[in-house]
Amino acid sequence: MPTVHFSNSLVHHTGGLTQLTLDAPRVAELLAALIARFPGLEYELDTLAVAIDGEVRPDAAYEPLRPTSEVYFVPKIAGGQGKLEVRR
Amino acid sequence: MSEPIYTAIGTRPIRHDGVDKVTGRANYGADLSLPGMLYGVVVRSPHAHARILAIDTSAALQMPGVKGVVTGKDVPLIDAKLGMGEGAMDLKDMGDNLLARDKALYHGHAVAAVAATTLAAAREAAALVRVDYDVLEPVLSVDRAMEAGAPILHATMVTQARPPIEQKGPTNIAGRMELKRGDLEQGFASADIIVEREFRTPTSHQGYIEPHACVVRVNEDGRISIWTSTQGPFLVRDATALMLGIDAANIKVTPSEIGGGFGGKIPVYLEPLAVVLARQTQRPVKMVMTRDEVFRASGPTSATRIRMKMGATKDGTIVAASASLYYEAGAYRGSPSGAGAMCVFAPYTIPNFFIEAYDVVVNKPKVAAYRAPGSPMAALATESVLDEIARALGIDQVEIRLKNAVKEGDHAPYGPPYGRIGFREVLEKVRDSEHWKSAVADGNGRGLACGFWFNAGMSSSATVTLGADGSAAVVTGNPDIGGTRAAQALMVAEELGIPVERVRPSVADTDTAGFTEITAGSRTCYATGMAVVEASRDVREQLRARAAKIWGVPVDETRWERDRVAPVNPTAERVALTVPEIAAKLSKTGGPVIGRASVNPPTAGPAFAAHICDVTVDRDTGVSRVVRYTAVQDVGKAIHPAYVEGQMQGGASQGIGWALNEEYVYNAKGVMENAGFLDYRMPVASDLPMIDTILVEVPTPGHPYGVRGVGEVPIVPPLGAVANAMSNATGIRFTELPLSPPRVLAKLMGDAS
Repeated sequence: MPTVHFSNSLVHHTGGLTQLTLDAPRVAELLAALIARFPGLEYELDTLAVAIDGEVRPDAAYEPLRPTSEVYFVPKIAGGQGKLEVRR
Repeated sequence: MSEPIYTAIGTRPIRHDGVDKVTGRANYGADLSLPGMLYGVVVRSPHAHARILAIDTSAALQMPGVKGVVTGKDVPLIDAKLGMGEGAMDLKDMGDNLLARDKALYHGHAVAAVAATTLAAAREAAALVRVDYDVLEPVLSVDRAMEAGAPILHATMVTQARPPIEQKGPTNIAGRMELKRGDLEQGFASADIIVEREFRTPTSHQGYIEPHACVVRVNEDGRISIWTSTQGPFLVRDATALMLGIDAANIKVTPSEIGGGFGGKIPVYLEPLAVVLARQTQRPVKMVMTRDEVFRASGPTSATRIRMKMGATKDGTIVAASASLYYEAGAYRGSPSGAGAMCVFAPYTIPNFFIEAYDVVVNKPKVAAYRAPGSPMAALATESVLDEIARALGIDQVEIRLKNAVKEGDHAPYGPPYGRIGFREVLEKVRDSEHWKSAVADGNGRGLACGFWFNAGMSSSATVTLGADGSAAVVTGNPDIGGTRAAQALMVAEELGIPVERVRPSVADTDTAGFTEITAGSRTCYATGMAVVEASRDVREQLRARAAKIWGVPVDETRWERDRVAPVNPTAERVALTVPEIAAKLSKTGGPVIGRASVNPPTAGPAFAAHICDVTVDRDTGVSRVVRYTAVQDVGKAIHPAYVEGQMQGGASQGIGWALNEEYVYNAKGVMENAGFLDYRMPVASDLPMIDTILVEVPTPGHPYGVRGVGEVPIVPPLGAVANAMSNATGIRFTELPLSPPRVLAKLMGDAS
């Protein structure tokens, strides 16, 4: 099962849990499962990019996960990599 | 695995846009004029912090030639969040920055705009717009902004904090984030040496040659055309639509040639104002910033204060480090403090660290991206402290960095493991370079510093059209800042096996090009290049089908061979066909061939650089001069090496200017006192030696050629490299930039006394 790692900025929402294995075929299902378990993560995860096995993707929802995948959430980089998307 | 053999990639043809540029024929933002065009001029706040009580435009409107005036109330108040990287940006903030509604938050903040038949009339009318202000105390530093009792810029501002913090009413601290690993206290306890310093860098500007400029025309049917100098035509279209509540389908943006941007031409400043004025007057409107306005009202980069503590064992192993980064955001939230936090220790494996980064609003223009935003200032702190530790321990500067350098599989401070990276290879090249091995001239100083930048991916599109003569045209939506058209032409030439001179690259408007994100984040040659390669390969597949049709065989009985389609089973009649030979028969085999591709790749592999700087210092005047400089960088794969070297030389030059001279000089009222190139001292060619370059090519996996972004990381090391060289030359540790003659002289005199 993919392993999700939480930075110290996120462990506040996970009750101190720093990593977790979750059965999810894609990032979308992984996020849904995480938010169901830790509702406080919803806003945070909405504003973070996803690193899957070291590859950082700002738009990762439909990316597949392998059983050995290591997933991290990282801040999207401002400025030089600015991206326009509306969140109302 | 053997190195791939290329015929076009890695060559140095003359850029396709070169002749137009050197002859002055290239059209930049201010070059377009339309019949009946009006000239728009912005009315700007003379105060750095003031409440706007009333705006009276009647006198301006009565002036002959004046056709329209716009104030904040003419721009709809739209409250939505824009996902702009690390922090969602408030659309209300963007609207307020475009035209102040309730408060002017920096000297030069736009409060109104006037359109008139001549530029002179527009300027005169702008002076007649009467604004009543309640002048407030300006907040001009992070120190003041964070003090208890400091004036608050935004009454509703709360700190966006990761992890969450306790909030006590409105604040000037817009954001805070933390990164940490290991046990800091235990790490420092195991150190044999600890160095702690505080660094400051000034507000500095990207300093692009071409000021912001645009022309807007609104048709009777509501269709809007915007011609503008921008790094992101699609972003201008979408931001203008959002800010004004217009359907983006009604806006076409045509990017002009661009005279530099470096991140500063990502935001929109003029376009929505020109749209409002053009709609109001039903005439085309042209707006061009003066240099003074560029300095006062377009994004500089953050002034910063960084506190850094680093501990190492006697053998040079870094065992613990902490950094507190305070970055000025300007008038609205959104400094690159988060990026600074992620970069500050990114080159080194540090088992125990703590990083905190603050995004702080002050009464200065809203900062914009500037080449690897946030990273150069952070690297100044890290590289200065590391320099000091190495000197104290008697360890060579390259060796201490090699000892601690990250490699594939090491985890970045922000979490994920690095993929294939070339930092160690860069340092080995430094160690083996003639510059590093040469003796330092008497009285001079030498500094080494390294730098990291992420490099972006994001969406890009490309089309490649094959002509009946076998030539090709490639179209993308990325304004060409760093020679990307030449690089794209090389990619098409490589893929189709045709001469690069027979490829015509162009940058199209938003109705013509497929959606493409901004030219920024060092992404164009990587992501858009990927789309170009895929579009070219699409052409190749179509040419195989055409050849199969000519031969009357199935497609799978053909194969691509460098510059031709070959039959799997050749006969006397069935021999390989070159691209021009197949192109000559396009109409007989099904019509034109157009290849297309769109991609949204993950971020490219990060870039690492190391710079060596030799300086000489005049001890009587404090004047310093860079006498030798070498930039070493992992570039992945250089498509057009001359333009890669150009990026490295440009980044180094800008960084040297930032280190030695560039700064916004503010008076107590928050007025910039040096808003011109005479007094805002950027380096010119005669100030610098030739910047030598050493290209290290560690290919990025996932890109057809291994391209890694190259445009941003070369501005990261120079601040530290220059500061370390100056410290080595003088024996004084310099921690505040710029190292201008008065500051250096004061330190030298202080040291002598």
